[in-house]
Amino acid sequence: MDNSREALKAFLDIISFDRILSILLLCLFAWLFLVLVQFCLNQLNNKLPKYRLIWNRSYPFVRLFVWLGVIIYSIIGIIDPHENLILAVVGSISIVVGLATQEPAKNLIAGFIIMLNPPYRVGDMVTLAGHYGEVIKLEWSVTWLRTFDDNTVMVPNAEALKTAVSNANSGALDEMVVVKFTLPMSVDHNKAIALAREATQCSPYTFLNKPIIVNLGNDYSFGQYQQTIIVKAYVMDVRLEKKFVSDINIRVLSAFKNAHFYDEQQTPPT
Amino acid sequence: MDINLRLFSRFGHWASNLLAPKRSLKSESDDAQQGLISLKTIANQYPLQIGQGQLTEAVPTRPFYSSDRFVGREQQLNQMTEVINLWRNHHGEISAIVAPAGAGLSAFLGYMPTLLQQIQDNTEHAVPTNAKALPNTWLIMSFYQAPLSAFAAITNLCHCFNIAPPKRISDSSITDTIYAINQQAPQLIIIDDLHKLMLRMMGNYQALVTFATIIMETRKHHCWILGCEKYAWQRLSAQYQITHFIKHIINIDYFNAQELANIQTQQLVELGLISADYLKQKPAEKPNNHKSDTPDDTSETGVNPYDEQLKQLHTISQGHPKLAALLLQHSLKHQVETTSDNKHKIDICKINSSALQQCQDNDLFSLAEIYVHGGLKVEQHAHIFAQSIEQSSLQLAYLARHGLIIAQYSQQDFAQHFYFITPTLTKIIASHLVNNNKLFN
Repeated sequence: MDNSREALKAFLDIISFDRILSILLLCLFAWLFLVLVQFCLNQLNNKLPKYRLIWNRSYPFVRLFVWLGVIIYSIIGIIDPHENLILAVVGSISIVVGLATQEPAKNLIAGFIIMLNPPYRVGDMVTLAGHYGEVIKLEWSVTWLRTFDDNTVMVPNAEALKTAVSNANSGALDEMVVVKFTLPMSVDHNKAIALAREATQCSPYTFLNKPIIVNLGNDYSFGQYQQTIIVKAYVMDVRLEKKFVSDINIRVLSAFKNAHFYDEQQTPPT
Repeated sequence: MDINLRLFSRFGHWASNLLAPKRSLKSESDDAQQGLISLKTIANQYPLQIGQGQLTEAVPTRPFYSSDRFVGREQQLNQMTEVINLWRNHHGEISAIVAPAGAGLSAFLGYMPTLLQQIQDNTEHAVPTNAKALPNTWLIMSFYQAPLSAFAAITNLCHCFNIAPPKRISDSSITDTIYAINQQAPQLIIIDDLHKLMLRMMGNYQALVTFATIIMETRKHHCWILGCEKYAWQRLSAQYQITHFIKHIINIDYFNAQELANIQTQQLVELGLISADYLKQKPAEKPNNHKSDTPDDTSETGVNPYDEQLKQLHTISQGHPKLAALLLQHSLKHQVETTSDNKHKIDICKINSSALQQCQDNDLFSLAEIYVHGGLKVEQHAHIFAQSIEQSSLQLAYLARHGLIIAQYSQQDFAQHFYFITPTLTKIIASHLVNNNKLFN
């Protein structure tokens, strides 16, 4: 380009009513398409909830490719700029990349990395930036969580790459839940283990296709030695985690109380 | 761009409402006009409902384990013959027959005496060997009360052999029981509905372990055959590793199109709609010249006039024999009501399962437990779900009102009401529960 005046003229030539309208129409169609995709996915979720994680995790990819397609087609197919202008835009993008330390760009790049190499997916139960909840939406720059208090938490994607992410189910519907019980040292530990295992098995929310593990430990607190029973079992659906924990507590504590484990006058096992 | 705009959310809601059937306003006659049959209508046609579902009136009109109308299952019968012959040749192991609810497991077990007779007949013509003689006595039984202690399990097993059970449990009770059972003459013992022995209540684990120990230790002397529901078997395998103790597992599935067509052809013959000649030939076979006695004489063409309906029946019922029989009967009846012309052109009514779609998560959990246990009392349901008996009673009554389960009412105590999955709907309900992550393969 000979001078800046010519460059500006070339740029203004690109901006025409037809082209803007075409781009807007293209965006509208892409948007409608995505609405349709999401509607279909919701219908599938309702019909086959068992596979909801599979449907949900596909949506961020569809959205990414649709908008990527829109951008590429708008530039190449509709705007069709002069090659020098492309070089100028590439230069501008280089500056943006250079400024990637800025938070929004950092989150966008982090979001892209998360989609390519995901530490979590939609439907997973994760601890992210100190918040524990279900991933309900995965966007370019942020991840949305729903906590068990029914709060929606927005976490910038850069956080996911910066800190450790704890994923409880990694794409599966079932999830391991750990519940700890404390018993006086005088209690018959074999009986306690058997009762804890059977009480957990009796919960209707226990995923019986995976094993129930009961571990015995000991602890010294409040000036006395105690036994700890740790129950590790899988819940059928990650969304039932808290309900399951409560149910195990009800059942195991009832079993322990029926066996008089918490009575003050404990008779040591013979 | 965020696509979750409120406008589209409303549009989606409106579209869903528009597309969804108006469930609450629909009546049975509306369904019938559209060629549909509701789950409630299906449940109402279960024989128990005629007697208001009271336990005292539930007397079957024909023997429960009947070998008449037995169709197909050739491969499984061959496997059973091998199992019995292995036992006779001193390689006795416990065998299990696993089938989904309503696939005809009880009918298969009911056929065992006939099979024994066939083996006996073959043995008489065979060269004598040192194989054991076939047992003189055989026993088919089903437990309706799951044991909740080792003592209850021992008592139940002692009753099977007419042995006096021990008065109280002791360290030697199991050993004594095993010894006493092994002193009895060899028997063929068939336990139907093994899943009814499994209950998600405290104490059941020890009872099952005791039960398994006794039958393991007596398997060489007596021939044990266990029948279990498919999804309950999955639970038993995962939690109790039952497959480690059972050598022969025979799988039965719902009927294929050909087998189901044979069963339904029999029903059509009994209704006098077609000639009995169709029972002797396959649908695709060429016609014979046998004259039909029925007024509806279309057998000269050789093709079953209801062939198309039989195909529809298999598609809709997915091979469930009781559901297919009910659908055929209902469709024929409805056809007679609307028009008496051209009986062969009837369309088999489809199932309106909207009641199942309306179920909430806790309803589905209840259905799953009732399905796997083969039925639950109100008090058992309350115990399993850690809720009050009143809450359980209301929840089960709700499911029964929609035809998903059937009640057998106790005269004395509402906590003793027994609820079980409508037998004709087992396949539909199980599929729904699997899709909703409540039952697992």
